[in-house]
Amino acid sequence: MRAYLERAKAHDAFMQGEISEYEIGKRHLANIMGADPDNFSQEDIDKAVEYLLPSGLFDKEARPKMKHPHDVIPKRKAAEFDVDGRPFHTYFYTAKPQFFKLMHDAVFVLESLKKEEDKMLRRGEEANADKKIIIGASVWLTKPAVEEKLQEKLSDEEYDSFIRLFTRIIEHPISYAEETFIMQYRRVLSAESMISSIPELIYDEAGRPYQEAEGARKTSKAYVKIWSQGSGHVTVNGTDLLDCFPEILDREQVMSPLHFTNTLGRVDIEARVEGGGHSSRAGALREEALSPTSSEIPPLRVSPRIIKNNNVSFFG
Amino acid sequence: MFSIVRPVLRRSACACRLITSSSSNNSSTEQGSGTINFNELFQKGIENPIRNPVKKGLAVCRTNQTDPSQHTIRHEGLYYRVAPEAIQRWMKEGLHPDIYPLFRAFNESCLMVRRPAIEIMECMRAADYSLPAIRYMLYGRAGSGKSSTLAHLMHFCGSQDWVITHVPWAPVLHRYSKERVPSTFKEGRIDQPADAAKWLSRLMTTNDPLLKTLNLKTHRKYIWSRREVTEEGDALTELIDFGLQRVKYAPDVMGAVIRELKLHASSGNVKVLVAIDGVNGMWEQTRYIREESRHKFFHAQELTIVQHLMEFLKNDWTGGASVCTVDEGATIKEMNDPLTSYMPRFLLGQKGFDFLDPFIPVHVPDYSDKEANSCLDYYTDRKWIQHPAGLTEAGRTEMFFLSCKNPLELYKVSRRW
Amino acid sequence: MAASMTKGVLNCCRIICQNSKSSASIYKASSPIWQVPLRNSSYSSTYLEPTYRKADLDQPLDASDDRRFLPIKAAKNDEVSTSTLDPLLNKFIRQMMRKGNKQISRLVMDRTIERIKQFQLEKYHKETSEEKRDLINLEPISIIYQAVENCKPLLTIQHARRGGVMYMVPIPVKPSYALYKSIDWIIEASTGKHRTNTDNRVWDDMAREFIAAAKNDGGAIRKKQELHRLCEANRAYAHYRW
Repeated sequence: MRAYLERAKAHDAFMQGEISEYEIGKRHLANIMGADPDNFSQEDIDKAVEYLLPSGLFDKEARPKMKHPHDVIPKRKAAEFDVDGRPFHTYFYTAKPQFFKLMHDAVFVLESLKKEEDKMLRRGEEANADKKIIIGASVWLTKPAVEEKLQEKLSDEEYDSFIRLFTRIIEHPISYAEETFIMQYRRVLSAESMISSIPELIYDEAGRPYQEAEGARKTSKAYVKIWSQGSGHVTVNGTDLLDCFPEILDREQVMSPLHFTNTLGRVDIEARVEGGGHSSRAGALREEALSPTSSEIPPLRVSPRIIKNNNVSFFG
Repeated sequence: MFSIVRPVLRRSACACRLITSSSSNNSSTEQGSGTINFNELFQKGIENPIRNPVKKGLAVCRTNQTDPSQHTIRHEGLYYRVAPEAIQRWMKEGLHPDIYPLFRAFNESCLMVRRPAIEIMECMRAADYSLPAIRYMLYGRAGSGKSSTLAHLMHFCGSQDWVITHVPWAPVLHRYSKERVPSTFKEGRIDQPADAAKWLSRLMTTNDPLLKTLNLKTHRKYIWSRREVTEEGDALTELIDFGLQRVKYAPDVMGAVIRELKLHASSGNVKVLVAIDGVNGMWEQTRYIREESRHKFFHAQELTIVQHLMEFLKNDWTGGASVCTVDEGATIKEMNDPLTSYMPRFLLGQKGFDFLDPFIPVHVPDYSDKEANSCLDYYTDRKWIQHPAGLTEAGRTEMFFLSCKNPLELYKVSRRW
Repeated sequence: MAASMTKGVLNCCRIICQNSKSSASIYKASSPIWQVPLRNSSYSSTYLEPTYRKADLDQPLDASDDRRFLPIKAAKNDEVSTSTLDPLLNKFIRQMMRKGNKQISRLVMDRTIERIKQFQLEKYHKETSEEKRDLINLEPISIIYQAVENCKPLLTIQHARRGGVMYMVPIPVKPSYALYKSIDWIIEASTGKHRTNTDNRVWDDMAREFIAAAKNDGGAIRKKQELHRLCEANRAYAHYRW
């Protein structure tokens, strides 16, 4: 027991030493870079290390880095019992105190939600549909993530029961009341397709708005200008669409985003496309002819990204 | 207006400008001196378009005027019905192969009246036939309607009792000929008896009733062998028959017939139209391998038939006209070659251009908005467009986008609708 | 023993749930350990199918729509947004394709549709009576759909070995197999070696096949009927299916 306590103390002392070294190192680095040592953030450190120690290694994890000891050195649980051997945690003798405490808390939360719902029903109120948690927007933390959070190893059955219980909570009509508690154990999803990077409108001398965009597919690259207030005129590499794409399949590809967003005959396109074969050129045009049109039609801002044409390089 | 865009066409452009200017004082050219003011002519026509030109029940895309000699700019963009006899005589071979099944399916044969055809018709109406035969050159992108325009013009001339000599697709001569023999008449030339006989038979079927009534006679004696002789003053039809019977002499008979026709045209007995599709093929390499070297090919200029056709294309005869087409399909094109152009100077090459210059280049553009809508109106009328979306405005926009309003491409796109 | 068995059962449940696309699945988007690769796709199972048809996206997306949060696969080359997009035609084109030459396959399909229209229109325009005209179907797409539907087999033969003897066992057919076989027979009837008159182009024969099959006639229908006859003849062995 004493040895255990000594180990815990030694670990704490070690960690403190590492942290102070890190802080001093950070100040030195700030001096080297000519920045203010007091306001040198982790991002600044990362940039400085990348600049001073450039690495061409493919794996980003293998490159040199300087992180806070907490991020690097694996966590150890703090001492769990005092000198007399009396444990600090109520659930110590369950062997997984954090986990079972969490489960008990969750059950308590569930029961309180049920009580609240009963009260609402007696009052004749209904659950607020607007505040309802969108289940599809996030996913439960994975088993390793939960283990990391709790600092305890879980068995598969234990993880299953955790998921089952929390699913019951989130599916409760008024789960939004305990949103903060639930969201601790969920990872928010944000689809890449929804992060809109719609290029801004540029105005030419005549005051006509246009947008510029780039797209790629396989080894083809396309650079496009889309002009508003147009009549459906398309120029690719200085020639007509028909000259550039004798195949109907390719022309349909190019037309696809315009047809989808109802901008056929309303915009003019001036494009330059290079590299690759005819099919990938058409795909490159399709991908980037897609993005600019969305800002012109605000209600459809969301939709075009649905059919983003990926250029996963080896599988595209 | 003629669309003369390139400075390279300077020489031919001069001829054209002289014809189109309203006051042509510096007409030093030998070409037609008729002063046609197209601007005025077309302006009047455009201001008075034919509205609902036909009796009730027929679509706006049609005109009742089946006589091409009456076609003017007012009929632009409208379909006219071609009589079956006219198809048999002048359009049996010249149109795009996709058009004939359509004629069968629609149970009628309609062609669209388009501006390039009207322009050439006006020129022909106003031309002075005591001056050397004018050469008209139709050029345009693939599928833009050059062969159809040529067919329309053949109908126009044929309905006015011209003798039509038609080569539906010149490159056939230098690509698909079955029989080639060295020429007996001139050394170094290649004869194609079967093709020459085909040309003669085509001449007969195209101009059968006319040749019989005209009763043209040969100007000199032709000795084919010890026993076979065509005397001076014999009927031209007999000469042609001789060429059809004795296929061995058909190439030389073809040359003789051409010479005779030129002389008759120049004397004013008859008007002759020379119609050649894909004329730039006459300055191309053939596909026929030389005997001495398997890697070398004959040149089209070494073919007798080509030489005879070149005689027709010279401007040393009067009383007629030549209408030719230059087509990208007639050349030997590399796959995906970005440097091709449909311009006459490019397709004819230096030698071809020097030979044919001066000519009047007539651009056959893709459909205009009016023509494209007329085309789809016709297809809708004939129930070719079956998809419900094809009957809407949005559907039409889609079809126009996909086809870039190119006539052939519009047809190809419409077949799925 | 019991623990490992339960674990095995649970794992099976997980795998089954993984492949289901229901949003209520509690195993969606788990760590890589939990993901089962689906037929060597370069996309993981969380990827959604793209929306490329205009009709599928009339309104802006719902706040809770999956497409807001999950990644989406790229649209394929033949998943284009046009008015004439037809899944059956696309399937036909793909199945007819050889050596990846979709252009040729698409051309043949377009020409076939052209020919169907031409054959039908020829009959239509020659016909003078309105009643007879109404009976002629001018829509090529509906003819194709009707033809494919008529050619679909209901039963097929599976071989089963019992006591050293190979029996032909009639079994009911899955919808995907029925569609495949229907298309296959139509293509075979148009392009197969049995064709005596090879001067006809593929699309001429294929158009004739479609029109005939829509009326329950022609080579493809005959193949289906032969198969059905074979199944009928072997109905005694149907119980060998199990």
